Amino acid sequence: MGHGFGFLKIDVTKKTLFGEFYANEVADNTGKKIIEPNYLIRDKFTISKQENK
Amino acid sequence: MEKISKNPNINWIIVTLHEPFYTNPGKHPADQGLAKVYHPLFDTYSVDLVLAGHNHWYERTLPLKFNDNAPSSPIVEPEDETEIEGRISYNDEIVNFETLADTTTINKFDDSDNPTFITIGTAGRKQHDQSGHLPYITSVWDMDLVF
Repeated sequence: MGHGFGFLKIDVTKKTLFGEFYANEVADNTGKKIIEPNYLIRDKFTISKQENK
Repeated sequence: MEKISKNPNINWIIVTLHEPFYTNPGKHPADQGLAKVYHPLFDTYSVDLVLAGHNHWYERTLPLKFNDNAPSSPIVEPEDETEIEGRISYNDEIVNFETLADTTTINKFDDSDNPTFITIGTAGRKQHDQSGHLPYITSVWDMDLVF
């Protein structure tokens, strides 16, 4: 198992929350440090509220 | 929390924890004791997002309602108001964004009153291995297990 790094980006408007998980991954999965970050988006979600709430 | 939920100037409620209430098996178990106390309050006061760490991986649940009868089996709610687009490839015509991975999970939830739980323990330390997959956890990343 390697030393992966990832972060969650959250943006909000009044009625919608946007989430994106960015992951840096080792190409050969040897567990060595990541030399070239790739910032792949592994997860993406939105949560919306009704206008009258 | 009641005061915050009634404040018209607060649009989103995001709670942060250390130990997750719901998490895949593999390393640290879920803190069901805290879940029994706090998850019902999160439902009552419409908490939107709960962020935890502890386990060194990423995982996101569907919006969950606390289950009084079986606290370790929360209810995916409201099922009929949740649009789940599922996993698509970056070549899918719905999303054309070059930085998406080939197994990116994409969900869109409309008008959910229950919180989504995320474990975000991916700050660069040695990662933990997941040994299973709970049905209400829709997105996972631990480098070796991606779905």
